Amino acid sequence: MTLLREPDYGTPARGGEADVQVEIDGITVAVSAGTSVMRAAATVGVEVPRLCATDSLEPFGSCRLCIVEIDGRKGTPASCSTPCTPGMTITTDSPRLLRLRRGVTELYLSDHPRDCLTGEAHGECELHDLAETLGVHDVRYGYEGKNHLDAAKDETNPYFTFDAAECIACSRCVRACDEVQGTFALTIAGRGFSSKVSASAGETFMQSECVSCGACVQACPTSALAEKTVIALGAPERTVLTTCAYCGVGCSFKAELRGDEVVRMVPYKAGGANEGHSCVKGRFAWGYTSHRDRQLSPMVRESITDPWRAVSWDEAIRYAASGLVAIQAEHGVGSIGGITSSRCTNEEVFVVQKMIRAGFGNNNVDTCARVCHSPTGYGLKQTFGTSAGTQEFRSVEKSDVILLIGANPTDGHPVFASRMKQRLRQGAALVVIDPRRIDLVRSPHIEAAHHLQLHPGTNVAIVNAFGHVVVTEGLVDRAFVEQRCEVDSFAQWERFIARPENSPEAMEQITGVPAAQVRAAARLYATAPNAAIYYGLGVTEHSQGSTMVMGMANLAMATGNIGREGVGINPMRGQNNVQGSCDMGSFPHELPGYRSVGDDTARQVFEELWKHPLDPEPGLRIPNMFDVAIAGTYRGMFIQGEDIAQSDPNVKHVKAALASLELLIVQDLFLNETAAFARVFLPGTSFLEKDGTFTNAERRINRVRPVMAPRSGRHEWQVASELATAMGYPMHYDDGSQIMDEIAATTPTFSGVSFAKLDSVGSLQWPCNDSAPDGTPTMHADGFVRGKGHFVDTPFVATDERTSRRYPLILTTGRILSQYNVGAQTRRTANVQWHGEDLLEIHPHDAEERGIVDGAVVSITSRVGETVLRARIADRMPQGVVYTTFHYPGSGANIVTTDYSDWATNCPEYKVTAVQVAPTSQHPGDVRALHDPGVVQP
Amino acid sequence: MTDTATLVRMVNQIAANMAHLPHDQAVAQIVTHLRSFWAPVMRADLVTYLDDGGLDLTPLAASAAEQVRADVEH
Repeated sequence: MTLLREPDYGTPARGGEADVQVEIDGITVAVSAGTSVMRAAATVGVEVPRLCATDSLEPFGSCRLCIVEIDGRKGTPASCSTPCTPGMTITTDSPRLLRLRRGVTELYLSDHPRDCLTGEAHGECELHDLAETLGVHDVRYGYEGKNHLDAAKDETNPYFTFDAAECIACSRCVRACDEVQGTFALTIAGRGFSSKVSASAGETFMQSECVSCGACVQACPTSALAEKTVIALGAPERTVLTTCAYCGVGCSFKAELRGDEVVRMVPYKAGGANEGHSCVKGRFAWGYTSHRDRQLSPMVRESITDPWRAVSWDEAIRYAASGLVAIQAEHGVGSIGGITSSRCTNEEVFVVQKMIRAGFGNNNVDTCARVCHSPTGYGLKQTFGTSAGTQEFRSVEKSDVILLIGANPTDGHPVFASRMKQRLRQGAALVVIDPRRIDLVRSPHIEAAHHLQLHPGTNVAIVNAFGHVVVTEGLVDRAFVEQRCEVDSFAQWERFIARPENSPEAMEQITGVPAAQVRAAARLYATAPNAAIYYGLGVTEHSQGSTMVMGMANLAMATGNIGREGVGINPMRGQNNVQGSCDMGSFPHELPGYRSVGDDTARQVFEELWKHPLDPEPGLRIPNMFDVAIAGTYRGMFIQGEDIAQSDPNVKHVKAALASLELLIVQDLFLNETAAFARVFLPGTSFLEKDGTFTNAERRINRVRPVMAPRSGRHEWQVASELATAMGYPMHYDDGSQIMDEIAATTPTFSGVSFAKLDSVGSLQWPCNDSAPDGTPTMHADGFVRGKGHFVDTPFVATDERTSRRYPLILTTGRILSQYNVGAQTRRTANVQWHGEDLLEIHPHDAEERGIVDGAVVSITSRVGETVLRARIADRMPQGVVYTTFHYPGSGANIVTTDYSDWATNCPEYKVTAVQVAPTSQHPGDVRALHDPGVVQP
Repeated sequence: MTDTATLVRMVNQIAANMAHLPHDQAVAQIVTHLRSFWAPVMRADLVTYLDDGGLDLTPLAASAAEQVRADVEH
C-alpha cells in the first residue's frame, strides 16, 4: 500500500438524519443538522482550504482561510464554524475568496521558515501545501519584519520535537490535548504577536503534564510538532495497517515506512477501538522490536548452567521434540504441558493449544490470563453464559453513570480513558471504587461523584452493599428481571442480598467506607438511565475475584443495565490479546469458544478435524503445573511469550518449579527471566512481523499485518506446527488465514470470520456468524447467551492473607502509563525516561511512623519474601496501604506476593499482601538491577 | 503428586465460598467444580489425602472429597 492519507472532513460528524439540504458550488447535498459547511463540502469532494480545522476537533474559526460566500449573507463566513441550514447556497471558490486566502497565507508565510515554501523542509506542512494550491510563491511583506524564526526548539521529549519557528499558533495541538486526550497540558500563552504554544505553565514538554499520547503531533498542520523519527529518517512513503500489541484496547495503527524501515506509527482514524487516538506506548514505544537484545536465532543447551549454543531451526525443533517425547515415554502423557501468551495472535495461540491437546495428548494448557482475567471468564460465564465483556468502547458515550472498580484507565488503558473522560466532561457521573486515589477521581474538568476508598480485599462486601440498597430501597428493574432473568435464582439472590449482614451499615466495618456514601453511590447507579460498570485487575486479582465478577453481573441484571448501549459489564483487559487467547481455548478445561473439554459434542468437532482423540478431563492450571513440577511428576514445558519468573506471584516458588523441570522451552523476543531456566530458546516475532489477528477487550477482532518478514525466519505458528510434527503429530499451515479458517470451522462464535472479511470490513466483534454476520457490538441485547440471566449468591469471605503486628500494612500493585506489564518491551524504549524504577508509594503517616523520608530506600517484607524499593511519600493510598508497580525485574514486587488466589480460578491475589516496610541500608532493586543482564537500557 | 497443603487450601477455600448454601447443594456444587476444573491427578491426590485422615479438610470440603472418591474409584 502506498502512503495512506485518510480523508479529513475538517470538522466532526454530527449524528442524526441527513435532512438539511444545501447547495455547494452547484452540488446539492443533504447533511444532518449541525454539520458545518466545511464538512458538507468535503462530503461531496469539495475541499475548502483551512489550517486550524481538522475533523478530530471542534471548529475554532481562527485561521480565516476556510471562508466561503453564502447567498443572502454578508461577508465571508468561516465554513468550519458555520452550520448548514436548509436551502443554503454556498460558493467555496471565487476571485474574492482566492484574493483573501492568498493575503492570509502570505501573512502566515511571512513568519514561517522559508525552506518550507521552497520545499526544502523535512516534514509535512499544510501551510506549504496550501501555498502551492493557492499559487502563493512569494510574500509581498518580505521576511525582515518581527518574527518568531529564532524561537528555541524544545527537544526534551524523547519522541517528538516542538519547533516554535514552524508554529502558526492555530491551537490544533492545544485543542487536541483538551478534546481528544483530555489532559489539558498545552495552552496558548501570551496575546497577539506574543502568542505561543506552552506546555503547562511555560515548562518544557518533558517537565509538563504532557502524557506523550502524540495527539498534538498528529494534529499539527506544520512541522512545528514532529516525530524525531521523521526528522531523522525522512517522510514515510507507504502504509501497512495493523494493530498495537500493548494493552487490551487494541488500537489500530498505520505503520508508516520509508523503504523497509518503520518511520512512525500513526493511529488510524477508521480503527473501531481507537478512532484515531493513541497513547505513548502504541504511538512511540515500538523501538523494542529492533532492540539489540532481540534474539533471532534458536538456541539450545544441555544444562541451564551451560552457555547457549545457536543452532538451526531444524536442530532446535528436533532437540525440543525428542526431549518432550522422551519425558512422556518415561513419565507419562501428562508429564508435559504449555502456556500460551496473550501477546500473541489468535492464530499463534490456537496452534499452540492444538499442539498441546493433540500433539502432547493432554489438556495441560493454560495462559497468562490465568493471572489476570480468569475470574472474568468464570464469573460472566456463570451469570450471562459467555466469558466476555458486553459492550463496545464507544458505548461509554451513552453512559450516564460510570462505576469504575479496581481499574486505572488513564494509566492502564489510556486511549479508552480519553473516551471516558470525554463523556465525563459532558456530564456523566463517576463513581470510583478503589483503595488508591487514581487520577480520574479528580482531574481537569472531572471530579468523581463518589470515591469509595475501600480496604483492599473487600470488593465483594461493597458490591453486596450496593445490591442490598437496590433490593431494599425498591430500585430493582422488575420488568427486566422478569423478562430476561431466571425467576428462581433471582428470588434466592433477592433474599440473600436483603439480609442485614449485607447492608452498607454492616459492611462499613469490613470495607471502611461510610454507609451513607455507599447508599448514595448505589442509588446513583441504580437510578441512572444508563449505568455502566468498568473494571480491571483490582476486581479479579483477589481471593474472591470470581465472586466479585458475579456480584457485578447480579447488580447489572437487577437494575436492567445490560443489553443496550451505555450500560453493561466491561472488563478492561490487560494485555493486547487476553480476550483472544481465552477465546482460542487456552484454558485447561475449555476448548476454543469456551466449550468444556468434557462436552462430547464439542470435543468431537475437533477430534474429527484434527484426526486425534482428545482428553475429556481438564488439565493442569499454571499454579498446579508449578506444584507438580516441584513434586517431580511434571517434567517438560513450552512457554510462549510469557515471563512467568517475573510476572507470577511468589517468584521463589515459580523459580523452584522451573528449576525442577527436565526441559523448559521458551519462545520469546528476549532472553527473559524465565529463559534462565530453559534449555531450548526459540526466537519469537514482534507484532511488526506477525500475520494474524488480535481480539481486544470489546471482542473486536483486528488484523495484525506484517510490516516485515519474521526476523527469526519463522512465524510462531510455524514453529509450533513443526514441533508438533516432530513429535509425531503432523500439523501444517501455509499462512495465518488458514488457521483462522480452522478457527471459524470449529468455533461457532467465529464462524463468520476470515482474513478476507476482516480486510473488507476492517474489524468484527464476535459473535460473528450466520445470526450476526456483521458481528455483535452489544451482547445480550435480546437475551443472554445462556438463555435467562442467572443470579448467584455472593457471600463475602475474607481473604486468608491478613495483617498482623509483624506485617501491618497491605501491599497492592498496579501499572503506570509509560510502562507495560513486566516491562520487557517498554524497558527497551525511551519510556524509561518517565519511569526508570518501580517505587513504593506510602502514606505520610505510615512513613513518619517508620522514619521514612521521600526517596529513602526501604525494605518490603512479606510472609514469603523481601525486596527493596525506593519510597515515594504520597497520600493517594489510605493509611495502612502501600502500592508499587512491577515493571522492573530487579524491583521484585512478586518476590513478596503470596500463593493465595481466587477460589474458583486460582488467579493470584496480587492486590492483597500483608507486608512490613522499614528503612534499610540495602540498595533498591532497580539500582541492583542496573548490573543485572535482565534489565536493559534503550 | 501435587502439593497436599495447596490442594487442601484450595478445596477448603472453595467450600468456604459455598458454605452459605444448604449442605447437600453446597457439596454438589463443590464436586461439580472439582470435576470441571481440577485435573484428575489433583482429585486423586485429594482422595488420597482424605484416606490418610484428611485432618485439615473442613467438614464441607471433606464431604465433597468423599463424593470425588467415587469418581476416582471408577
